[in-house]
Amino acid sequence: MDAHLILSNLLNPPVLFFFLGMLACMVGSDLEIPQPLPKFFSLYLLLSIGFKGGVELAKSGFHDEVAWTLAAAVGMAIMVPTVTFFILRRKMDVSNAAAVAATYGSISAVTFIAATSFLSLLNLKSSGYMVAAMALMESPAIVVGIALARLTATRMERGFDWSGLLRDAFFNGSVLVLVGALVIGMMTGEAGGRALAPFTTDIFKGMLCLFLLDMGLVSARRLGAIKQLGGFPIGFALAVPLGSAALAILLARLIGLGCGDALLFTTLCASASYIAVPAAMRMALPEANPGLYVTMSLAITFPFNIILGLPLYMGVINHIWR
Amino acid sequence: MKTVKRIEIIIPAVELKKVLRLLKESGVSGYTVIRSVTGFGDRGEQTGDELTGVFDNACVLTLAEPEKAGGIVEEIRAVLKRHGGVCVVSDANWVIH
Repeated sequence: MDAHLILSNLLNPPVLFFFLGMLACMVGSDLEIPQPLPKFFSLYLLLSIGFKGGVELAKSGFHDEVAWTLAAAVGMAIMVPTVTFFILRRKMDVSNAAAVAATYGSISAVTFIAATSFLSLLNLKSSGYMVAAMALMESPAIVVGIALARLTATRMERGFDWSGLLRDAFFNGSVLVLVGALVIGMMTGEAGGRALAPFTTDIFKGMLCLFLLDMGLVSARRLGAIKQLGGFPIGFALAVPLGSAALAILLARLIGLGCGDALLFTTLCASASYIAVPAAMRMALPEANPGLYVTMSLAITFPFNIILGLPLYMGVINHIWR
Repeated sequence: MKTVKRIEIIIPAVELKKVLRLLKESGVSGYTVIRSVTGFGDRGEQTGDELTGVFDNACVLTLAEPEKAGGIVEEIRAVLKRHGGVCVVSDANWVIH
């Protein structure tokens, strides 16, 4: 692994604020971000990244590479939960296997945003349509996870509210803001981009620092729960991102993406959801243990990706693309 | 004052909408919701610090006429059985104003 890339990532202010949050929790500090604020930061980040993606997409237009990337994104969002479900079934019951599989089939928007921040540090460009890929990858895993659970379970209650689940999967707040901001960005183009730049660009990194400070606190609070998970979930939470990343790099190479887009695509495939999917799973599969799938995603995969994953994936991409 | 049943329900925040809908359909005249309720129970610690709302509870407080309370409790029982939570019913006096 390239030591320069690891160091660049570790000295990226948002990552350092993530460490600060973890440190605050570990030393028992009374530091806390008042409750409504993390939701506001999350909303701001999704709105900004969606809007900027839309502005870029309006500039670049829709071409073959965009279509292939979006198709590959949806393909991965369906394939990953399907394959991992059957691996998980060897060690877990149907509900837990489905919830974990859906968590890993979906994506983490904050990991994606941390990857864009890492790219700007390396002066590498990325395309606006990667935001569209992110929006497309958020929801299919929820539907696949629930469908697999219902198809393979021997006993499930009748009259399941599919319409409610589909509404929550495709119109939940994060997806709606992201897609809505993307469309608004496309409609307003460069003029809109310039008008909103002080809000969506200038303060973006500062807001990301605040959000990652909170994520550090939240992740560290769940560290204690890792001990109760056992070896298999911990190994899974580290191995699946690596496996998905390897496949994503191969797909990115076949499509012909640039280095920056390849990293974003790889990050999307390697990340796991801790916002949209857990909420949907808690409603649709209450038998599944949120202490399992949230801890795996939030306390293992998320820190792994933003600390080591990003420089590791970038190093491999640089090596292959050279 | 009027004799009523005081019904307190603590449920996962993600199920709040469903419980409120059930209460409305049961004909209660009103309810009070306290969000971001944390605590500890048979489903572990509900810390309430996640963006997901997965570890967050909500508390619903309502009053019902004694003859209606049984029906409301049965509706709520089905939700509690599947999603966990607590429902407490007690006698109370409603101050009419």
